[in-house]
Amino acid sequence: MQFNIKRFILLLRKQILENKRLYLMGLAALGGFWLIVLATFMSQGAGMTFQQGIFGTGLLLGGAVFANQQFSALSDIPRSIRYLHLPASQLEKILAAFTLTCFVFLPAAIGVFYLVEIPLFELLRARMAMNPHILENLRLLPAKLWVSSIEFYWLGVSFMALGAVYFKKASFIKATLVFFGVLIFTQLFNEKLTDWLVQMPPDYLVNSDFFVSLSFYKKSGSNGSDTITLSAGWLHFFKYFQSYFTPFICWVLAWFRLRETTVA
Amino acid sequence: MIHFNNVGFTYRRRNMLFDNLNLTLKPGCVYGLLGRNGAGKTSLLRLMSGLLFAQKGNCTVNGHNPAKRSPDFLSEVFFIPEEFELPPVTIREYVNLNAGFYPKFDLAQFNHYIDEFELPDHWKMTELSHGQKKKAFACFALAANTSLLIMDEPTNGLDIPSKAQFRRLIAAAVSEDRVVVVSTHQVRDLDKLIDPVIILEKSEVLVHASMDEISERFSFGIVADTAGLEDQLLYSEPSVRGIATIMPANGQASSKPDLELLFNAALNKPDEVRRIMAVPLA
Repeated sequence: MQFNIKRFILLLRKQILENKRLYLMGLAALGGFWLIVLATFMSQGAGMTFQQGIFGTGLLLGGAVFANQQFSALSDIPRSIRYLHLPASQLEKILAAFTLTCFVFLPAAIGVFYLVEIPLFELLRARMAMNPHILENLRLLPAKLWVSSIEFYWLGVSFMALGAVYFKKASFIKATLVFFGVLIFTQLFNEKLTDWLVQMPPDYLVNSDFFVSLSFYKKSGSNGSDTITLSAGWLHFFKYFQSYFTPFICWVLAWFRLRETTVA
Repeated sequence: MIHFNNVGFTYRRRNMLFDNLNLTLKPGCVYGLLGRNGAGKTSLLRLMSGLLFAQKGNCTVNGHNPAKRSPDFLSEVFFIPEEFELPPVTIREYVNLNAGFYPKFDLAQFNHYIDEFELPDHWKMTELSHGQKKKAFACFALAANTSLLIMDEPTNGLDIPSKAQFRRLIAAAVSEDRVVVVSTHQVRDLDKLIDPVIILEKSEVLVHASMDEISERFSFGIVADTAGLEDQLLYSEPSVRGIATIMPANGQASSKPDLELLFNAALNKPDEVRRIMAVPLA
C-alpha cells in the first residue's frame, strides 16, 4: 500500500483541471434537470416529499455518471494505458476518485440544487401570491431531508465506481442493471429473512425497506397506532451497514480490481 | 536492465503466446523490436511496462516487478502506445499537470524538443493532428528522462521531415542509463537508430543481436542474377539497382545490414536464420 500526499494532490488537480469543462457541463445539465422538473411541479403545489424525491433522483443520476466517468479511461485501450501508467499507486487513484465523487461532486451538486431552487422559490412565491394553497406548500428543501438521499447517493455512486472498474465495455449500463438487480434481490431477501426471523402473526406485515428501522404494522391498520417500530439498539447496525459500510466495501473492491486490471 | 526469465503468457488458455521466454535488455541501447502482426511485440512491451502480467516465470525492470505498478517503477517508465488519446488541454497545461509525476522531468529539455518540432505550447492537444499529437507526446516522454522508454510504432503518422527530427531526438536522448525499446513495422524509418535488433517470430526470440553481430553473421548485397546462389540465399527481392540479397556471411567481409531483408529472411527461413544465429562467433 503506497500513499503519498503530494502525488494524491497532483492526481486530484490533474483530474479536475483536465475534465473541468466536462464537469461544469455535467453540473449545468443537472441544474437544468432540476430547474425543469421543480418549476413544473412546484408551481402546481407539489410538497416537500416530491422535492426530496427530485433532489435524490438528480443527485443519484448525476453522481452515478460522475463516478462512472472517474474510471471511464479503463473502457478503451489507449486511455487505459495512460491511466494505468500514470506514476501513482492504485490506492492513490482510487482515493482520488473517492474524494472527487463523495466530497467534491456532492457539495457542488447540492450547491447547484439551491442555486436553482432559491431563485425559483422566490419567483414562484411572487407569482403565486394569490394562490394560498400553493403558497402553503412552497418551501425550500431543508437540510435534514438530504440525509436519506445522501445515503442512497453514497451507495449508488460507490456501486457505479465499482462497476466502472469491473466492466470494461458499457460499464454504466451494466453497473446500473446489476445495481438495481442487487437492490431488488436484497429487498426481497431482506423481506423474507425478516419474516422468517420475526415470525409475526399473519395479520402483521414487516417493513424491511432500506434505510428505515425495522417496523411491524397490522394489515388492517390505517393509522400509526398499530405500528411497532424497533428503532433502537443493535438493529441500527443493519441500517448503518447498508448506508455506510456497503459503499466502503465497494471502494475497497474497486481498489483490488484496479490492481488486477490489465490492458489485454 | 530488463530481464525476462522463463516468462509464460497467454490470452487464451490453449494458445501460449510466450512460453519460457528469456530475454535481457541492457541500458544504453535503442532496441528495435520487429515481428509480423500477432508475433507478440505489443504484448512483450505491455509485459515489461506492467500493463500485462506474466503468468509464469518472472519479469523485472531495474529490479522492480512491473506487475505491481508501483509509483517508483511507473515514474521510471514511459510508454508511448501506437494509438493514444490526450486530454482537452494545451501542451503547456499538459506539462503543468503531468510533469510532477516524473521526478527527472526537464522543462528546458521539453521546450527544446517542442521548438525542434515547431509545436506552439498554447495549442490544444485535442486540436492537433495525429502526427502533431505524437510529436507532443514524444517530447514529453523524452523530457521525462525515464530509464525505460517504450515506443510502439512511433513513426506511424509522422511526415518525412518529422521522421528525421524524431530520429535525431531519440539518438540525442539515448544515455548510458536508459533503455529505449522501439517496436516497429517501418524498419527503414529507424534502421539508422536501432541497435540491437530483436526479431520475434511465433512468440519466440528468433534474432537478438547487435548490428555488428548481424553484419558478421549475414552478408547483404545487390546482385544482377541469383543463379547459382539458391543454396545460400536466405531471401532476395528486386530492387532498383538489381536483386537485394541476404545470405550467411560465411567469413566474408562484413556488409551494411539491411534490417528489412533480415526480417524477411527470418520469416522466410526461420530455422536457417536460427541456425546461423546459434553458431558462436570467432
